[in-house]
Amino acid sequence: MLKVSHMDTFIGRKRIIKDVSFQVKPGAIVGLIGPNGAGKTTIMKTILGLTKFTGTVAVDDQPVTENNHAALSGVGALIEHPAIYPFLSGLENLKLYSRDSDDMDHVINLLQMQTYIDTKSKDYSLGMKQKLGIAIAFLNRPQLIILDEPMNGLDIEATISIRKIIKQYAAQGASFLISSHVLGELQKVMTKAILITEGKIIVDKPISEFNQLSHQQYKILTENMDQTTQIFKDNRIPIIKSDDYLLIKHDLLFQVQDLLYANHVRLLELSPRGMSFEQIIVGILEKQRRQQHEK
Amino acid sequence: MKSNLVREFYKFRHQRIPLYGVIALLLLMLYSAFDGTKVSRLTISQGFGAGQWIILILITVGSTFVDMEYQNGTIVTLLYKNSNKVRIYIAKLMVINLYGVALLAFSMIFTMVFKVLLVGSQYSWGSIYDQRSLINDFSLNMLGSLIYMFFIVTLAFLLISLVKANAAVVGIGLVIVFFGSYFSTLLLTTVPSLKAITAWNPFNMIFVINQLSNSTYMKFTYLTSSQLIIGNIAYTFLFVVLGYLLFKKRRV
Repeated sequence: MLKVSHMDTFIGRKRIIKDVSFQVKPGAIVGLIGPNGAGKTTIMKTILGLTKFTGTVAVDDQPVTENNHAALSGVGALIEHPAIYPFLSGLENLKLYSRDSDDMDHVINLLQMQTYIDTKSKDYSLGMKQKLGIAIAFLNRPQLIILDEPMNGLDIEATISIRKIIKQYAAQGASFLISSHVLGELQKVMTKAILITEGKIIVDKPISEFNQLSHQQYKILTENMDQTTQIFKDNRIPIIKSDDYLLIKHDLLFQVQDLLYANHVRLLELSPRGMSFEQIIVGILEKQRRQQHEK
Repeated sequence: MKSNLVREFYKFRHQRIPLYGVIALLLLMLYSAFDGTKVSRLTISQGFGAGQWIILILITVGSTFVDMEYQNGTIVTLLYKNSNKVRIYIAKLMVINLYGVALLAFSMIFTMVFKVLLVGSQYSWGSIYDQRSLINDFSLNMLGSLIYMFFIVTLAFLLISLVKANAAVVGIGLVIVFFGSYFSTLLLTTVPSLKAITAWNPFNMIFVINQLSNSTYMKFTYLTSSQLIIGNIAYTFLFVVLGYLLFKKRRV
């Protein structure tokens, strides 16, 4: 199990990660999500003991520090780019870190890399390199696997295959910490989502709670959308803008109706609407920005 | 440590650059052999310039061997899978130094072959000149090159951790090889009153390659051969420590 407590990470004198605490339990698939520059990769690097930090990081109750990585013996990771030597073949890259040839063969078969595993990795496509990077992370049956944007460059078949493998390993007790910009893809596998902005965690919830949120929205369409937006803005009604309609939370339904009626805005459509995971996240981020702006 | 060494050797021997280094050494020694002047006893005793050529090759190969980890992003895996950064650093240093020893061995073989092909039996290995045999001078020059090799490899590692650009390190290496002795002489002649101190400047250390077999170099270095050896060893240790500290601090 991974336990991060009050983690502060510094780059130079700048505090990049601010008091971050969370857990990844055995068998859990935790999604680390947030906008560019939020600090996702830095959190992952800190867990791997690659940056200076305060607070504690522990894997199976064994602390990880910048100078002690003993606890990471059961951890596999893919950070930013696939870490491969172009002058080595895929197999040679795997051999560098493999402790068990049977397990190595298992990973090669699992990721369906048999046809090109003996080719020099400099000749690989982006997707093949990504698969090799993932294969390195899966070597030696790790108990914790950290994947930073694992779906980068993968085609649909490979994406589905990686998703299946992640679920399969998790079912066997491995834990995952995954960051991805492809939220829809992440939503299909993760059991918990941690939303981070500006180095701080703003949401840490099981995915089931996000799913509940997705049914608590109403779509609003009026004869004058600009005026409607302005009315909501003036009355501090949080909205999510789409191309040609607005979304509001279900508990504001009556307040919104009253406001539109009072301002003589004719309602064309008011209907319950499911939200995609992306829309929920965007909504949370917009709310966060608004709150910061008000402060 | 053993697994680090095995891993580094594995990576090193799977690259083409070590082979290119040997080929470059051969070509550069050929260049020294056919530079328009007659092959002399001095040219042979200096292994057709092998000392300076090996320095250049080692700077290039050494800095590339560290830099590739950052270029390929493999430094992340390398670091998180190791508790001790010093092991990674020392393992890499050992690989490059052993490669340097191999280059020296190749240069000795090339020298012997070139001598046979170019001058035949004109200069016998046992012939005495200035109370020393050719083989003695040659061996001392190779020993000097070996000592300076440790200096230059650790310096290359320090520089690549400092300037983080392989091309810049190679450029600095070229300056050291071709102008280092000039800088040293300049320094010594500019402030003659401080010769006792300035003689220990790092540029002066390159003379260990020649001075062990030719004590007349003392006129330029103002250090005895023993002092030059001590200076080289001291700088080597200093560069290892500073290089490691920079490597440890470098962001990934």
